[in-house]
Amino acid sequence: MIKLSQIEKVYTTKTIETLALNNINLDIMKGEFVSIMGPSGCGKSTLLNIMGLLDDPSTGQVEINGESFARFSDKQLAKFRNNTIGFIFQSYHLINDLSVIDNVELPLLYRNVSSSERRKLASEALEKVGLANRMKHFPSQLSGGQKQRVAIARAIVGRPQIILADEPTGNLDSVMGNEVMDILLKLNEQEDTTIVMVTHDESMAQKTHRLIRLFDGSQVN
Amino acid sequence: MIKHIFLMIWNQKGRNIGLLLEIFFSFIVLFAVSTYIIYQYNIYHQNLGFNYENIWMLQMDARESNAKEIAQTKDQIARYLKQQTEIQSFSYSSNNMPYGSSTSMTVLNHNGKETNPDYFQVEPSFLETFQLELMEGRWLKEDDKAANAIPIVINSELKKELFEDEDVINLELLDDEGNTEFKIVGILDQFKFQGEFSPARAGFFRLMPDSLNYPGSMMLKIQPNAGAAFEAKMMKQLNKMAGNWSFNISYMEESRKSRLRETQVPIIVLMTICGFLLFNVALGLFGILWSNINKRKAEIGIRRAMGATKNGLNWQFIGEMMMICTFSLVLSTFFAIQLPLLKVFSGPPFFISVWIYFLAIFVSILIIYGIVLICSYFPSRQAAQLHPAVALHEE
Ligand SMILES: Nc1ncnc2c1ncn2[C@@H]1O[C@H](COP(=O)(O)OP(=O)(O)OP(=O)(O)O)[C@@H](O)[C@H]1O
Ligand SMILES: [Mg+2]
Repeated sequence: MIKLSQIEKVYTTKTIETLALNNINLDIMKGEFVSIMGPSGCGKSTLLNIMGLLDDPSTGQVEINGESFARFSDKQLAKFRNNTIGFIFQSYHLINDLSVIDNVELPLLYRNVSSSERRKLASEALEKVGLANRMKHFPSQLSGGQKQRVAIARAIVGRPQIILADEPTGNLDSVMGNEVMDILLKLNEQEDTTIVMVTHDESMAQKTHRLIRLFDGSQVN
Repeated sequence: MIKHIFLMIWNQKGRNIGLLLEIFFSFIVLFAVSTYIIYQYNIYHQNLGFNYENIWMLQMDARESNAKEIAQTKDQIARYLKQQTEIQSFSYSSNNMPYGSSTSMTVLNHNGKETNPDYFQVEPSFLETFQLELMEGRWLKEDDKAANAIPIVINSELKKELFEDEDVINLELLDDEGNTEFKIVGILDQFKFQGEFSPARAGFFRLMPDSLNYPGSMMLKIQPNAGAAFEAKMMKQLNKMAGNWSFNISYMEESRKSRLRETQVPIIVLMTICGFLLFNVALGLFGILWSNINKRKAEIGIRRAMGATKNGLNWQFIGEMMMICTFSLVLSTFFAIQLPLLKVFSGPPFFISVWIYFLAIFVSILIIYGIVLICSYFPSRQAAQLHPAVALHEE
């Protein structure tokens, strides 16, 4: 499903060059639930961004569903992201100017979906994360856990085959964290969604099929 | 998407209201200036009604005030001028002549309506001297001096103001006491004697009576090649014939130029001020858009991650600006449109026609949209080009 070969990522700033990823080789199967662990700054988010086609590797190949993207136009890439990948970001990344339901509708806005259908799918997704009663709220009126669940609803609303989740439980207490984890596990079991999740929590990682450890940009086994 | 754009704007009312007001006031200023410019331009392009080329204007002053003596001297001068091959045509006239500073007005009544036209006292040769454009009836002739009702030729503006569609040739006009005073014998097009930039005014011509106790002015249509030498020769002769008169010669083309300058200067100043203002508005808009978009970098990253294309984002930002602009223009047009609807300044002394207001509104709308489009295009494009990972990182 997701195949990374010899991925390297170098960030060059004026003063230093950072080797954020070094010779990453990964093959993630359809329906797999993979977790990534590693100390802060070891390149987890960078890896997820590259998997999600938000960032280009400095060298190496990304293949998703057998497609490689070197020749993809911006439009094709956008369409692919929209159809195939759902993102849950480390810091929620909701749009503050939009209400909860409008935030959740966002991925559908970039598809040909009628506004009534959008509304329906978004409310269903919000129900799944237990936020049906907060649809008209704005992000600033929500708690951290609620924001994270909105972000999950937004990631699943378009029924993507892949969900990339960057510390989805990181800002939550253990009860809330377990709830979010349950949502992801259910999604993986019931809908066969491939999930790649970055986490700092060993117990969460234990619940997934496979654990990948990163250290200083490299895989460790 | 339009609904979504509206949503984005609505949820950010506070941030957008300033922009809305800025566009509102720019429109109002632009509307005022473009109304003024279109108004002046339109007047400028109305038919002037006479030819000012190669006209010399001779102002004459006599120390004596004996009508008979004055008439004799004038005859003598006329005889002399007729013999000069350098002069194509000439006519005595009252002093309210093209590009000059004097005016003469009177009151005319007809069927209960009243108007205040300019009136000009001239000679039959005046038509030829100024190449006036007769539209109906005939011009004045020498025998008219003997007529009971004074024959007059009116201009089309007077026709419009006082008589509308009536057939006026041979119509007699009464004075205040009900006696016959004038008889209309012809209609001219315009005679915009105050120059290109003054609105067409009602006016009429009659023959200069012999009984005047002042000489008035003399209009000379000169051969194109006649110059200073002829002028000197003529002035010398005139001084000889009328020793105690004073003559003052000026060239109509010169008077015209200085009159035009007087009007053009304020127009140019106004346009410069307006241009400067618009430039400031553009800069302001540009700045606001830049900072707005910089504040929204994370949003750009999110949208890109959710499947927005670069182009789509670019147009979303432009769309937001255009929508704010449209709201602002709807509001300001509502105010501006009251002027033509209430026919403000449509009467003397401005005569701003309704279409001028509408054209000015249209022009102002176009310019504002143009500025907003340009000012939003570049920041939006720049923002849309941001790499999604970078945009997301900047939160
Ligand atoms: N845009 C960037 N420019 C320069 N360096 C960057 C950029 N993004 C990340 N880095 C560097 O790359 C390395 C990996 O960053 P990354 O965000 O992937 O870490 P992480 O594993 O997600 O850390 P955390 O657990 O704290 O989120 C870090 O050293 C970071 O400083
Ligand atoms: Mg990270």
